[in-house]
Amino acid sequence: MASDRLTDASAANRKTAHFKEISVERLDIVDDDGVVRLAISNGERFPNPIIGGKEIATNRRPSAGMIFFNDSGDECGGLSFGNRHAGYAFDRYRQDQVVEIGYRESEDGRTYGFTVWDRPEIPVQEFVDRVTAIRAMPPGDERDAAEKAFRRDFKAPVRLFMGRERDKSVSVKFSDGEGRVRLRINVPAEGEASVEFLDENGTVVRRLPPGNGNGS
Amino acid sequence: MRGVEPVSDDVLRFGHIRAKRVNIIDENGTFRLAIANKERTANPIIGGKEIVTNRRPSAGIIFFNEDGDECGGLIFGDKWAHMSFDQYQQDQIVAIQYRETPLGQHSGLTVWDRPDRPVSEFLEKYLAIEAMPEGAEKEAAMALLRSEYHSPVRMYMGREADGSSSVVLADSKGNKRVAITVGPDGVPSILMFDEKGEVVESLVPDISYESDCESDSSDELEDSREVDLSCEEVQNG
Repeated sequence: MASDRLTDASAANRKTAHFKEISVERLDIVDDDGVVRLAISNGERFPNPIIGGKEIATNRRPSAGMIFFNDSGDECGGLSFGNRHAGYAFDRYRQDQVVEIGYRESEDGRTYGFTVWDRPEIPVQEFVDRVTAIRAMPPGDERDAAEKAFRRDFKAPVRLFMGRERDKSVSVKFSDGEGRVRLRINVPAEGEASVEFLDENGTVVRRLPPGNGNGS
Repeated sequence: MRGVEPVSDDVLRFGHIRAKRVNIIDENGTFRLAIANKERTANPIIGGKEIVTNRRPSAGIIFFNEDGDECGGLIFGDKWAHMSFDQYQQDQIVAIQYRETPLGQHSGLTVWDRPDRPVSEFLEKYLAIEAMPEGAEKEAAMALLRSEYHSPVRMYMGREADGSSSVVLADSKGNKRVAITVGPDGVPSILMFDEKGEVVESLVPDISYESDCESDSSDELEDSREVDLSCEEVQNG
């Protein structure tokens, strides 16, 4: 923590501590009333999401970075990174991320670029409550119906992606409100570039250059 | 110390901290993030080794992954700003950036391909070749190295130095294959190219256009870190 490198913080009447260099495991920017607005942290001390004023225990991978909190004190975005992943995202109010620049790598390959999502009007806290309620229901028609309604209410489709895909192509993909790709501009690592218009079943209805291509 | 109060055993609260550099470290002391002024910018760490570079020192934030290697950053100066993430053990693959050049300013999102080999290997080979006596052999070795570690821009979306705005996609050799552009004159176009740079499709308003891009290496989508991105592929005819 702040140690011998502290230079002149003890000077009379200063409210600002001056350092040449400090090393800490976590640094928070807090409001006057103590609410954390920004946390810069290593993996071990990375904060849990706070939604609707409540801390949510998640299984998200602890990861070094920065987390932003809005005026209400709820998580509203962040920047995190590790060996094979990185992301910088902003969240919709009381919801999850709606715009991100990210990188993810797995055995299937790596993908990175810019993504935009739709998020429901419903606060994510209600999402958590509904999931908990459904999990507590006995299997059967009632539970199936509840799951179906849940998926309808909480759909959060990707609406736009632009970047590099796992198959090493680069593309710009526009999707409808159901998450179905309707316009796809694709350049594979090698081979023909294409611009494709798709219907809601994923069938290519128009293509540049003309030809059947192979994308549907 | 005035304005400092302990919150718990290991948390201190300050009214205001002013520092030339702040490091966020793991429990074992590995740097994970460094916020610094220009003079104290962190050097890159690659394969656990600190690399002395000639990169321009700049204020900002440098990120380090679990291995302790640099994996991206957010840096800014007078006429440029940049945030990027690196491929694991490699260099940047996605960035948003702004830069003023003598030819104009460009600002946007860039996506690169990087080889599946660590950049530390490239650096070792590069230094070995640098130490070779001048001559054809050295030049050939350097050319081979560069081709092996080719890192083309695959995508650019943003404003180009010539004042146009565009989305450009390239193949793995860096050849531009799709360009969606609104030119500095306001004229929109969608052009598609084959691997030789020939226009194979064009979707343009009803006025005549011609391609001005020759099918040579100048067609390659350039790396915006060093060079102006604009290839004047669309000329109002």
